[in-house]
Amino acid sequence: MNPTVWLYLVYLAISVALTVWVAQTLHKNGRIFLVDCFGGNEPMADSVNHLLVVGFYLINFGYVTLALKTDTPPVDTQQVIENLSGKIGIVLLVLGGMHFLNLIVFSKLRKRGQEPDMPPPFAPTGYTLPPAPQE
Amino acid sequence: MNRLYIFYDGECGLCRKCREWLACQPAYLKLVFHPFQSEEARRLCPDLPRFQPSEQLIVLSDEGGVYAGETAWLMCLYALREYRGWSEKLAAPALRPLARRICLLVSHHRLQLSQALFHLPGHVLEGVVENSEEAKI
Repeated sequence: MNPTVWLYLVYLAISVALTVWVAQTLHKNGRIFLVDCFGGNEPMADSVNHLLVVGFYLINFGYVTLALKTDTPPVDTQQVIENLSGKIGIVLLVLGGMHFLNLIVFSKLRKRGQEPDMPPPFAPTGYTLPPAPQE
Repeated sequence: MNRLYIFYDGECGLCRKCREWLACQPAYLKLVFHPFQSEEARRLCPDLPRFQPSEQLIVLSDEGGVYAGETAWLMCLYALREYRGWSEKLAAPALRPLARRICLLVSHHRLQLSQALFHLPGHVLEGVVENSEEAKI
């Protein structure tokens, strides 16, 4: 096997492992958040959680696959490591970006779930007698 | 808080359009609309003239809280399922002055806006319109 094939194999192994680890972390820790968002509706939270993880996998594996090919094939070990470092660095940044995007989605869902119990965001301008119900 | 009484200008076409739109929206609170010129408005809130309903929108809660001007508009948003989050955003210190200015501007020019946007001549609408959807909390 030439150095380029080694580069691809190591890149794929590390990227897939990282993606699976981040997805599992999100899946495990995001569940509690989602159960709270959906007012304790666990089947709904599990369903949304699963769908989010599927989307996460699709986007990340899609990016990892597209970014596989290298424009400067390495000829020695040093270049393999440099090339690998650049590629893994970008995958990590994409994963980080996706992770924060997921957190934003989670917090928006949570906020929306709490809206029915939200008090008015300001006090009344004044007070008067409560209106008598219609006769 | 379960119910909001909204006292709008029955002579203003824009206000009537807003009422129609609000009445169609799914809401957390029951919305009851009355022109501030109507007998029913005076019966429900004898204090109403004190809050200058001809100058600004007035909203009264079933607990006796009166909201005037931009707070009345924001309470209308607060009552709606799809817009409750917006009432919180617009009530934040950064956006509140802007919301106040826009509401003042619209309130002062509502008759000209009605004419320009909807070609609606003014006339007093009597009667009550209630939104059809009850709150489902």
